[in-house]
Amino acid sequence: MNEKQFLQLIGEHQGIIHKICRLYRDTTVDREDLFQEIVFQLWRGINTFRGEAKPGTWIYRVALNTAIAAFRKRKPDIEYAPQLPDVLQEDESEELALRRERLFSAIKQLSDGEKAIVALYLDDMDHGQIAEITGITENNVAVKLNRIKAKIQKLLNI
Amino acid sequence: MELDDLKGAWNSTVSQPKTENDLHLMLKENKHPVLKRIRKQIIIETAGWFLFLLCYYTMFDGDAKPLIANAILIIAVLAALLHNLTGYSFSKNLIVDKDINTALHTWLAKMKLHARLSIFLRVIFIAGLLTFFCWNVNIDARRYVLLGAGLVLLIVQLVVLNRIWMGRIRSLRNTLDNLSR
Repeated sequence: MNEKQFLQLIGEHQGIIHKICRLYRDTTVDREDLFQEIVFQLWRGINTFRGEAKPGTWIYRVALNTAIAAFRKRKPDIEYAPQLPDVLQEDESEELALRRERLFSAIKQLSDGEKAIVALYLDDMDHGQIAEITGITENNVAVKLNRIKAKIQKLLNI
Repeated sequence: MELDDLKGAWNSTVSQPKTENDLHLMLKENKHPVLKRIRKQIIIETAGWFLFLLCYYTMFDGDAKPLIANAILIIAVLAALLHNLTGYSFSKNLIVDKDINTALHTWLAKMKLHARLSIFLRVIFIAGLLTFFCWNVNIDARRYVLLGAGLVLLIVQLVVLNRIWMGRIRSLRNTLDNLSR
């Protein structure tokens, strides 16, 4: 894959990276840094992607590994965001935006490993795909998802 | 409401999209935010040590000390520079091309090794500096106090460095335990 094809691929799947950044970092600056780190690591590891796995699976694997392994600043800096981190879609209802905010604030309270599993689940991956990316068994994925669902429901009071 | 009902909310997340040019710049090592900060630190420290080595011979009595003391000082300075370079390489070469469990296990092993190397290089640096400055010096009470204060400062630095690495290792180990439990 050449650079142009890579950039096109990342452009098409950048939503995955944005979601991971939002999940694992708290400030706009940290999210921007992580976004760049993920794209850099994807480019460095481009030879490990041979098209056997779906691009989304490969991007998720690299993005999650990077988000968990890369060092975080110990304290958040004071931040003056030049723009809102998320773009409100024109046809988006306030209810959906509110639901998303609540969902993210609940997931952010999970551990790093649980965040990874729930992110993959919410992106419609089945247990087999989640097991492949996380490296744990399908049974373990099922057990963990049940625990995570219970935790989130409790956090969201649903 | 089930978790499935929240999939719509999750997938509606849209952030400011990056243009192809933004993404292109992110592929460059010299634009990498973390590596850029480390590189800046390496350049500043290297320049500082270079200046120090240029003038230590006359300013800090290098000419009055034996060759071995001068060699120890140079090794100490090299240890400081090597410490920065290994840190750069460590931050650049994350392990991301395997499943999360395998990648984090490998990363944890690499981090432990790097932590030991980092502390070892810092000890070499501190011990080297102290050896050079104390060589052939008559230590009176005032100098003992100064030496003691310097030593305490350097030990505090080592303790802080150790705590930072232990914290990182503990956090990664917790993530792994949590994933496989």
